[in-house]
Amino acid sequence: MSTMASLGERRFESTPVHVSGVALLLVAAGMAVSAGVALVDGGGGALALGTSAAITASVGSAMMGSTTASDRSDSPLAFAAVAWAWLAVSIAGTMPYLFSGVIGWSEADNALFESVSGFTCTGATILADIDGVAHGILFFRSMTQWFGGMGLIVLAVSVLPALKVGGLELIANEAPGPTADRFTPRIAATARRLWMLYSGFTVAVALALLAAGTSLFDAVAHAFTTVATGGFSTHSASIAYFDSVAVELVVIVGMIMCGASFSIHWHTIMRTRSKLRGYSELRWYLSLIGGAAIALLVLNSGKLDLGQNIREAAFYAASLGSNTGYGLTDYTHSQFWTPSAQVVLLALFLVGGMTGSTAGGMKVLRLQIVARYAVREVIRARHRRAVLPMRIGDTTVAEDVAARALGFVLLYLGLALAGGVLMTALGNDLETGFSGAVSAIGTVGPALGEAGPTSSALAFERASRPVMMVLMLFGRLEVFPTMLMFVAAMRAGTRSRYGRQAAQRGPRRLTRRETHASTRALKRQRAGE
Amino acid sequence: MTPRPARRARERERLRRLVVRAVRAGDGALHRWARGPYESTLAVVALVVLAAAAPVFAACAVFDWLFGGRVGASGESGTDAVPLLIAGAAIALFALGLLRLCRFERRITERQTLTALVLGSFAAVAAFAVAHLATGAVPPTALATAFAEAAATVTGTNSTTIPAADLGQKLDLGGGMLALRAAGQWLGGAAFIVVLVRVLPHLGVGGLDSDGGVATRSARRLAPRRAGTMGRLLLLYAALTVLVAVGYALAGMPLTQSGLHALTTASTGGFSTYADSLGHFDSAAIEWVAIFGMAAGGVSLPLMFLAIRRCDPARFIRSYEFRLYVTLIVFATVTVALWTRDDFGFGHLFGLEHFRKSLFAVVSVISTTGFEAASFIELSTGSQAILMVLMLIGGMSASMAGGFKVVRLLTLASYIGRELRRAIYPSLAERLRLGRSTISETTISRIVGELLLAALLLIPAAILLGASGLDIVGALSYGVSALSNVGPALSYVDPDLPGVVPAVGSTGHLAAVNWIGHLTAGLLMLLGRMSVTAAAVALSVAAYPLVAAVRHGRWRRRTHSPMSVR
Repeated sequence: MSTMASLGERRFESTPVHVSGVALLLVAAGMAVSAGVALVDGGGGALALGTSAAITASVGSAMMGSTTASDRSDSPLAFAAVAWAWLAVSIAGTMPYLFSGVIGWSEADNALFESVSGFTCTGATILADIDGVAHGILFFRSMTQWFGGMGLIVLAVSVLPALKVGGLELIANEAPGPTADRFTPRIAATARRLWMLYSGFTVAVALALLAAGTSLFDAVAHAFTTVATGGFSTHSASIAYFDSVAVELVVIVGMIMCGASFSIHWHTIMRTRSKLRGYSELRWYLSLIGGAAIALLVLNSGKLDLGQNIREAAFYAASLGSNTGYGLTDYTHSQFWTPSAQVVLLALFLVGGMTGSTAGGMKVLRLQIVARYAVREVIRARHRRAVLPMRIGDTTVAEDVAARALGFVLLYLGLALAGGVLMTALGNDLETGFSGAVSAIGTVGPALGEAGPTSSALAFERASRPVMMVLMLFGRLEVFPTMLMFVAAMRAGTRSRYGRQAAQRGPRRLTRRETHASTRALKRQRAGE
Repeated sequence: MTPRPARRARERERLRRLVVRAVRAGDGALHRWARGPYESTLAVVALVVLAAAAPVFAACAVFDWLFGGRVGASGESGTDAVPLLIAGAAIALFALGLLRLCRFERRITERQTLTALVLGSFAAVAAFAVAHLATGAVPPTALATAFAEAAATVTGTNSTTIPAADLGQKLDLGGGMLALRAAGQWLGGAAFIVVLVRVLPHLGVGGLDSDGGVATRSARRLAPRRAGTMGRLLLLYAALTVLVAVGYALAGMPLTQSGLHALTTASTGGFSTYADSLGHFDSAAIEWVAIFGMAAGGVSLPLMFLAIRRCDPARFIRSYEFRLYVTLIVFATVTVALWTRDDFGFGHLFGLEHFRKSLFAVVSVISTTGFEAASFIELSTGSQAILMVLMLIGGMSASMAGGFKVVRLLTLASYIGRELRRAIYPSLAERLRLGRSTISETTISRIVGELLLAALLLIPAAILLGASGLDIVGALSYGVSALSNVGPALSYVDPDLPGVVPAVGSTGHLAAVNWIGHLTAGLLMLLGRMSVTAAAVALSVAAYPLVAAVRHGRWRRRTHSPMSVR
């Protein structure tokens, strides 16, 4: 327990390092699998992936083996662990691109961008010619999104219960949304079920894509990124490459399903009664996507013919409503898409999917809270002494949960605004800069202006891409962990220092009052037994 | 407080009595006139606002006969005078006639105050729209255009559809209309002071309660009665206007022009008589006067009043809000000056002129005036983004400026900070403070609610503006600009669209959009001025019969809806 004891065993007590090590090991496993794919495919990249896997695995096991996770679990520690783990895997994820030469060493920042964009499920890519890249590397690239979708730490907790990095805090901070919904009393079991469901969806989408006529490789790679609502494709033209209504339908359904809460899916499949709150959010989510599709249809009606219009409206409402970011045709061309339709897309960027899904954005539930809150303030302006509980669906939202959600929304909007100012200051034009910032913090991928769905992230100035990376991490981890990762580490440090001082001083003699209190507590405990 | 000389006090007292007697006489006459069968405060307020427009019209007609030739585009006097007089007389007859049928209610409830505010502003807009239609400033069938022009006048937004013969020329208007528009912006500001004292305290936002954390409880009201507070603030406002007018005249602006520009500077309205705004005069002295006037317009009036009255300039420094206001101006000016390089035509990078132009742009935007010394589009994109953020923020609370207000930004920042701390210490209980005073939770939720309502409003507004002819940057930035009562916005407007002066890049938005855009922009301006919460409450009061029908009729969905309007 105490720091001195763990020093004696030559194992430092550091949850962030330990968790990062575990996450790196999982990524190494993914790299190894991708190396296998590269070998089978024969298109090269196997060596690069194998080397990366070896390095990642050794660093990961060293980090994991030299530390132990702290058995106390509070939010600062969870923040630090999650944020540092994501930083670690993002750095590790650059290796395959660099070793294989897909991205040159002089452009190491681009490799980091690709890796961050992968793990955060953003889907903004730096690769101009994706079709020419080795299949093994592309498989790994899609896999980073698959890992990032449900979360590496959730995976770690589910496959390695002996890890003892449990704690709802940890999962709650990685899983998207304001609350973590437990299906079962045991957290490890919840995490395992989440991943089972997630893998099941992946298989289903892959089979459906195969049936729709894609190749096996494309099916698996796109299933990874559809289910993760990531948006990486194995082709530069994205989904437009297949030019098939069947593929589009499969992808649309997959995106909408995975932008919805996984706990609703679980309860629906297991036929257990879900909390009704989820259903109210589901209503909002589906009406947002439906409403956006109708709005796009109406707004673009003069510019596109009806068939194409329906196809594009449905696809983009689903793709951007779930913050996936697959592309069909370029909506930034003003001869096809009206500016108003692009504003609709921007609104979709901001909102994103449901809580407890793999989608990004600020989440539909928070939009509900925001709307309810605003309406409540109007009513309160009329009736000053009214006491109005905030209800969403049939649940009452506690004031502190609402306050945290509002704080999140304000911070989120503020960060998007600040990011937009920075992006424009670093050389992007206004439209590209601001929409790029909104897209990055919503982990969407494509933006407006020059950075449409068919152009790569090279459309952003090089100097402004680090801003996007930071925004993506903020967006995927839902702002608070990333903002507080340093604070948390400092606080953890101070606590252990006090702990050390206390250990040096030895046990303090209790005052009489404290002795009394402890005796009484003991008695009460015995009486309780 | 230092004792004042007896003579000055006596004069002041005499003046005060005079004003009080005049107000009482007017009040009495109103009560004697409005004794009809229909008891409605709302109708009385709206009709009084309408009737009050008539003397303004007459004054502007007189101005047109006397000086119209010096200001107007055609160079002739009296072109607008007759239509203005007829319109004014018609409005007065209509309003007084209807007023005869109405009667005050015994008691005025809070929600009626808000509805009265909304109705009153719409009445003022109607009066000014009639003036625009009568004088031919807008085509006689373009009702939406007249509405937008009138809304811009009343709310103090520098945005217009009126073309000029060429860049650098006068707007294509007669002297009477120019005077009426400037006077309208000034009166809109004066009316806002009334709203500030009488209505906004009910809303708990932006009223006199928030003067930046400096005031102790005793100093929150300047006088024991609200009428006294109002009179003092109006006096300060008028004095500021005169000061700016004298400043303009001394700086070399023609006398009539300096009068009109002073009206729109002190009210942070921003209308100019020239298509290229204050840049037309191309004079450093005039720009400095404008910078002072606009910056003062963005400062809290009660704060300014107390600092002057008590000869205590340190009161400014003690105000947290003032400090942030100045910090924002300084920071933004330095950033804009550094980011806008030499090749944008701003003169030498570190020269005084470059600094002045940057300061002018920043102050014009943060005080939500909207004057332009040079078009915003000449700035670098990063600087334009900074200006957009400043537009959102706006001036200090209880100032003439629009926008979200600096003190609310301060409050929001501390709110976010508390949520971050709460993420670490989940059971944290903490009160937010601004200096010595704590901010109540009610105030915070009002502020957050107002921001969220405005944000939820912006997206549909941008969609409508985009659908009516602006590109996406133009639509979003003009939405923000109209909501904050600034006027100029970003992005080039398509110069091929009919009715646009191509070179007026940052102010051509209103001229570029069709009637949907005019309606949207006009509503945004009004909502921004009245605060969205007030408008929503007024709407909920107006829609009460419908709501009641839905709740008690057959469309009732739930037995106990917590969100229901009772």
